[in-house]
Amino acid sequence: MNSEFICLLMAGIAYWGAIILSFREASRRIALYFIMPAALIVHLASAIIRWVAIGHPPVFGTYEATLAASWFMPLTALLAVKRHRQIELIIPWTALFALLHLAYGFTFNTARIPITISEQSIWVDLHAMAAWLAYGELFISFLLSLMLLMKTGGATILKGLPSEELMDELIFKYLVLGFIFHTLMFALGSYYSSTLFGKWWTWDPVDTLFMISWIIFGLIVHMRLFYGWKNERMAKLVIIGMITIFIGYWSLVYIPWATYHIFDIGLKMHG
Amino acid sequence: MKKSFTKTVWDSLGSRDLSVFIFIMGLTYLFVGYIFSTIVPPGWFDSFQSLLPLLVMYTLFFINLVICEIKWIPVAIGRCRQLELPRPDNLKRFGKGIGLDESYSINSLKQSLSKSFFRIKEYEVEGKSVLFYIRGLTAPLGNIIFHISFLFLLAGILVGLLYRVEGSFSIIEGRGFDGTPGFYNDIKGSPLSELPYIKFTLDSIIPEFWEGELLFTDLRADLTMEDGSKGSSWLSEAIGIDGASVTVNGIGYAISYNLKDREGKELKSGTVSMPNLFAPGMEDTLTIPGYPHRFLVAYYPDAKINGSNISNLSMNRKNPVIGLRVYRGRLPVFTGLLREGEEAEFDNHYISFPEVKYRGDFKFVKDSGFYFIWIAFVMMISGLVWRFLFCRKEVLIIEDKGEYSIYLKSEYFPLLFEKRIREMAGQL
Repeated sequence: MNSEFICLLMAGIAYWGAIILSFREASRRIALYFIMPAALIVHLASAIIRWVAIGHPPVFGTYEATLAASWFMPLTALLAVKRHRQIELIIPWTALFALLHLAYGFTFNTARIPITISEQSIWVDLHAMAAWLAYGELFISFLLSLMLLMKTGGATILKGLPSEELMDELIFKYLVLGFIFHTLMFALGSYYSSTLFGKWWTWDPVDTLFMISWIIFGLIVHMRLFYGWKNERMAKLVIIGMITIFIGYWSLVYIPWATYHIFDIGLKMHG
Repeated sequence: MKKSFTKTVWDSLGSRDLSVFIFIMGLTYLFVGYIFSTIVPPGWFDSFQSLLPLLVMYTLFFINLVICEIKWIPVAIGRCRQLELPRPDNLKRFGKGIGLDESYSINSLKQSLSKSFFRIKEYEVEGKSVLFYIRGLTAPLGNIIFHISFLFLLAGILVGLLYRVEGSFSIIEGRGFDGTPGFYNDIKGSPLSELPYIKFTLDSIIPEFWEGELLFTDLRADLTMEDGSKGSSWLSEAIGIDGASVTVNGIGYAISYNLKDREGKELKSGTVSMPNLFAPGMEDTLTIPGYPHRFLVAYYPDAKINGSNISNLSMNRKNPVIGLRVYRGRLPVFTGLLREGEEAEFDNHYISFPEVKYRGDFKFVKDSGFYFIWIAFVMMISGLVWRFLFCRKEVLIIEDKGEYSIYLKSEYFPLLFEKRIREMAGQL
């Protein structure tokens, strides 16, 4: 087993530890301040080892996308909790997401493959980074929305959450941040698409689905500002928007024949 | 008072309800687009989107946007100018003040606010000392910038529809391209478009493949321009020529042949592009004018010969071998493998292939609408940042005989702002 996978294994164990410790209020701080940062550091170390070996940021291909997602989501969550300690209950959920997502990644090809020429551009790297930042922020908004709905539904496992009004503001805050990065991702992708295909917009299913989620998030902002939609109503819309992002993400993996956002390509030309 | 018909139409077209309706229509339309784009060929949806009902939707969207902005711009500008200094006897817009316990530090709060891009106004009203901090006074402009960006997007699309021109052409290494229309494989031009002046010599095509895989790790075309300057074009990075972006987006093989008679006299020679020769191992047919033979050629850039079997180890030109079958009518007159320059004998003739060159497939796009599109994206992002990350926040500190009262106001995030202020005051 090479050092990249040893680091990932350590990260996985640390995420697992963070989940266990976070659910108990007494040990939550240990998870928050020691275990999760440690998990993110070894996870990053694994990514750097891979980056050096393959010569590009490990954000391409399904396996690498899962590596990136399972690093960015807990990172943004950790930064959010550092700023707003009242929402530290999102940590075990993001750690669980990271762990499951890492495991999911291992069902795909983990071989170190150099990047294809069509993706060799700083613009693609920036596009991917903006995407992960957007999804990190939106994921927080999504988790808080779920928690808000559970809280208003009377779920007792979510003790320690802030007031509904504060949660509502946080959902909106991370939604707006995600929306900004989502727009940035769209702009960078369009720019690169114009270089590669001579078109800034194509009716690619992935592009179309991400446009749907962008419009849903735009709609949420307008509904809040026009009609004062808050709390549960907004939370439900955020969840719908995030579901379109999940479908868009899995479109990359499961409908590759229809999109130029090709993650995994058949490389073998002879046996 | 009854509204006039024009006013009713104006208000309806610029209403928030219509905005939301267009959002929902747009979502439905895109959802249908998503389903179709997964099951129909890529170009199909491009024609679908220009159907009349969808054009009506686009038109309605832009009418709604323009009317909303016409209504909103004076209000927003008014708000930007509105720096009404609050008076301690009229604090209606602030609501109730925040309570800080004994442990807070008003000095710490003042210092933190000064460092956080707040403008400070200090004044006295009826013997009370007032400190008014304000930030994000011009934030409403962000909203306008964001929405006007869609008009730039529209301008970009319209300019593209009128002036866009694109096309493709292929050149063999060592040859020049002079940009005359006959040299293009295809040209698609908009009504007012003009063909860019593209003229260069293709010095070399340099592809790199990863090990034995059909995976480009590099594809570069080195060019010499008309004025003698050098340039390069990649698949993922265009070279700009006369306002057009030119990229090399594919390669193929072109094969040089030399046909001789039995005395060694050259009968025919030339270099022909063979589009079906790539990928390696595929066969393409060469015919030579005046001769009845068909030459079926295959190319292995990195061949491994094992008895009568041949396989290709990589895409790189390390050990090139040409597979040749020659037919006269249906009769095979030669079958064999040749190295570059080796001769094959058939019907008292000799054919050799001294060189296999790369053929570069180029694409060019000239679309001035792109400039408007990029401006639109910059406006979108800066508008959002301006509106939401620098939204309007106000802090009012009133000192009356050594006692401090603090009042806060924030767009969008009042509770988070209160929490931040408490942190600044050192209470958290």
